[in-house]
This record gives sequence, structure tokens and C-alpha cells, in this order.
Amino acid sequence: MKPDLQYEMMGRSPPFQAVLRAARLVAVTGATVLIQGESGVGKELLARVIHDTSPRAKGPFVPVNCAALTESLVESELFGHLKGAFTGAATDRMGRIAAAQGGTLFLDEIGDMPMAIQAKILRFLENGECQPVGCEMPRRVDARVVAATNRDLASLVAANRFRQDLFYRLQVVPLVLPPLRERGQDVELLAHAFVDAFAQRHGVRAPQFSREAQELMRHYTWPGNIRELRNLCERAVIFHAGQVLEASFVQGHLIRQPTSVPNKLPEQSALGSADTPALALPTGGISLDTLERDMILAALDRTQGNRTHAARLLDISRDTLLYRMKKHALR
Amino acid sequence: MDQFSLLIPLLLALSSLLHCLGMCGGIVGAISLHLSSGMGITGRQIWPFLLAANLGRLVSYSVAGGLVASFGRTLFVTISPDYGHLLLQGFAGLILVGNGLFLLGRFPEMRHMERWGYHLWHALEPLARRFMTPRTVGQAFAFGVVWGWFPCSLVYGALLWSGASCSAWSGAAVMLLFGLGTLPVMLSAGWLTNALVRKGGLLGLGRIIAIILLGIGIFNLILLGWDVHNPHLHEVNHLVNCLIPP
Repeated sequence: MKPDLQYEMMGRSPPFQAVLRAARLVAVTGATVLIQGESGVGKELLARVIHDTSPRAKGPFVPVNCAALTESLVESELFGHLKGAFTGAATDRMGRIAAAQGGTLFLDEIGDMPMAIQAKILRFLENGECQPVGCEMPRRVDARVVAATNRDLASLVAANRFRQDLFYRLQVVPLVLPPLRERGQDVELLAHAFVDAFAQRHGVRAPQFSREAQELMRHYTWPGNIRELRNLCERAVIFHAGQVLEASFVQGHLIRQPTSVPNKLPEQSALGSADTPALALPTGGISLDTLERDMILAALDRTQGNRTHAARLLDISRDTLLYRMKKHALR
Repeated sequence: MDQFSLLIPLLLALSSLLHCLGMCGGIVGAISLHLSSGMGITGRQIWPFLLAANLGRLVSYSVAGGLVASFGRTLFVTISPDYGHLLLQGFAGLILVGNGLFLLGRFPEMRHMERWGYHLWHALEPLARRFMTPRTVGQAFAFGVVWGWFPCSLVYGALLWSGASCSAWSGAAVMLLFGLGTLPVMLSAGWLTNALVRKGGLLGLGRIIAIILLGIGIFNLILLGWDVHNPHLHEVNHLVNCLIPP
């Protein structure tokens, strides 16, 4: 297992251990697996565990974020294309599916995949055939598919936004990763592992969490899940190396804060009125980058990961949101 | 053991279908996919494999039930030779209450019981992975035998209930019935349960059964308290024995 995985796939809570046990068992089969769970619970890492403990471990692990691919490019990106297949196709290009030959193809956020491509993915799942754009004959590719989503696929099927046959094909082996708030003392275990790891990486002494800080972390809902905890720990190491972290520090860096994340921004504040600012600038200043990141996470949390709605909440276009998510390495 | 108390492990299993779907349903699905996609075994030819795997699981459950029942009986009689049977009844009532609350989502701490099986599973996991891709029916049965020891709070809840049985045989029978109750999910590889979940029926059914189990547990504890204070009420004793295996 890679070093990062050692920390993020760490946990002693029964719900987490149960999923990990099931994942290690199904890994040895070639079955398509659907990993479900909220944003930030570690779905890609679980997919890597499945790959690393499978007979395909020596093959490639190819992750594809389906939500980040534009509809016009998704087919070429996944299936590849031949030279001259469309304007701008100057050379042959191998798709991500073919790149996963002998290994594992990880389709993240499969709920956001365009309907037209879903049919082709289903065909690939059923007979291993993949047809590059501009190619008349399909090619056979031997790749195991692990898909993941934070959406309720059954609801998407009901809304005709996800193919029912693909849903049934994926739903045969479902693994549900529990959110961090349901993992009890794993929060402390992970927090200690993260601060130790980041302290080692940055060459500083690890900070310690006070009892009150630990209590606060234990009872917090962690809407950003492990990703939020990891970011908090990295900030703690960077700004407070070797110190004791009080509850006030933790509180100041959590997403769900009534002061930093108001339930609804007043219209004029969203527009940036100087007289009535939406957020007061703290005396000690603030990292604008961190604030932007936290707001994006809060918006995604409130809209259950729906990017269109999150973009609307932030008063930006969906493309801008996707760009900024990429900038902050958010998925 | 009477007919009524034999119903309890079946009820326990039926109320836990959602839980089974989440964990073991995926394992059965993976085996089915391995057989169909990996080995070209389809349709009716898959059934012997699935039946063998589940038979192996039921064998392990029964062995565990027999062992726990022998231990439980010995323990309670050793603790109190005169009142061991009452302790046993009280224990069984508490287990039913605990299971009922757990299934209603009111007692999540019960999942910590899964830790009991961690070390055993750690030792068995390599075997499970080896037989997870069975090529013969015998290998499927071997996988089932190992799979029966997969740490699971609901299995442990049923095992505790079997611990209140009067003999190793009745403990084994309790766990056999529990295992039989889980078969609908395991043999349908999840599709039947998926259909029920979508219609919301399974959730409702699970809750109703959990409430019934909770009610039986509380009723038993009340009757037990009454029995302790009125030791000559043989008819009450008989009623308790009808609900709890003596």
C-alpha cells in the first residue's frame, strides 16, 4: 500500500472495518464494484485498495473523474480516437479505457456521466468492447471497472438521468463507505496520524490537540469528511508546529461555522457591498485562498455535491466552479 | 425448545435483510459475477455454487451456535446452580431488546461486537480470498465455511441468543434457522432485495419485525421479574418458557 493510503484508509470503527474487509474479498474477483459515500470519505483510496489487493495489482490504475470531462470530449477521452476522426484529431489517441489494459479503470462520479456515454460504458462492462471514435471495429480491452459516486443513483434512474441497466450492472457489488461522523474514535486516530505525517513531511514537530479540541472534533459532523480533517491537520502543522491546539483553533477551521458560513448570504452581500460585508475580516487577517476553498466545500455540502446548484449558491457559472475545484484539488 | 421460540432467529434474520444486502450481498454478487463473466457459468449452473457457499456458511453458523450454547449453559449454571435458568431467561430477554434497538438504529454500539471476530477473521482472510473465486462446487462450499466467520454484529446478536439455549443442539438449531432466514438475500445476489428496497417495503418490514423483537424481549423481562417475585406461578413460568428457550 502506498504511504498516503496507510493514513487515509486507517480506522478501527466497525462500519469502516466491515467495508474494508468486504473490499479485500471482492478484490480477488474481477467483479465491477460500485463505491458509494459522501464527498471526501476516501472512495478513490478504497478503489486503490481494491486494485492493490487484486490480481491486477501490477497493472495500471487509471482514475477518470467523469464530472470533470465535458460532454464533447468525454467519448474521445474514454474510448480514444483515430487520426482525422473529427476536427482537431491530428493523431491517434489511446483512450483511458485502453490505458487501463490489464489493470483497473476507476470511474469517479459516475452519476455525472452523460447518458450517451453510459450506453457505451455498459457495452464495455458487458463484453469488454471499446470502440474509439472514428474506428469501425470495436477493440477488446481487459480492464476491471471500479465506479464511485456520492449521488443517489436510484434517484437519478427515477429522474431518467442515469440508465437503469447500467445501474443494475453496477449495483451487483455495492460498497458503502461510512461518513467520518459515523466512525467514532477514528477521528482522533486519523487526526494524530495526519499531524504526524505532515510534521514529518514539513520537517517540524507535530502539534498536539488539547482535550477540548479533541472533544470538539469528536462531536463535529465533518461535512467534508476525511478531506476536511486532513486539511485541518495540515494547517495545524504549518501554523502551529509543536504547539498545543486549542478548541478555538479547530473551531476556526471547520467548514460548518455559523460565522464563516452563513445559512444564506444577503443579496447585497453576495454582490459585495462595502457597507455590509458578508463576512467580517478577522483582526489577524485571513487566507483568501482558504476561504474560497471552504466556501466551495460548504456549497457542495449544502447541495449534496450537486455542482450546478452549488455554483448557483456561489453566484458563479458551473464551469468557473469546476475550474476553482480543480485549482483547489477538490473532487 | 418450542415452535414459538424457533421463530425468533428467523425473525432476527428477516429483519436484518438491509444489513445483509449492504455487506454480504456484495460478496455474493462478486462471486456470481466471477462465475458468469470469469468462468462462463451462467443461469442454472450458478445455483450449485451459490447453494454450496451458503450451505458452508450455515454449517459454520450451526457449529458456532452449538459452541456458544454449550458455553452459555455451563456458565449460567456455574454462576448460580439454582437460578441459572432465570439468569438465562433474563439474558435472552436483554439480547432481544438489544437486537431490536440495534435494528431500529437506536443502539449502534452493538456493532462494536464485531471486534470479537477481528482476530479470527484476520487469520481466516487469506483462506477466504483463496476460495473467493471458486472453480468447483467444493471450493464454493469451502468459501462458505470460512465466510460463516465473517465478523458481523447481527450474527453475533443471534449467537448471543443461541447462548441462552438449553443444549448445544438447540443452539446449533437456532443459528441454522437464523442462517436460513438470511438465504433470500444471499441466493438472490441482491436483486430481490434491491427491488424491495426501491419500493421501501424492506425498510418497513425490518422495522416492524424489530419492534416485534423488542416487544417480546421487554415482555419476557417483565414476566421474568414477576416470576422472581412469585416463584409459585407455574403458569407464568410456562409462558416465559414458551417465549425463551429453556
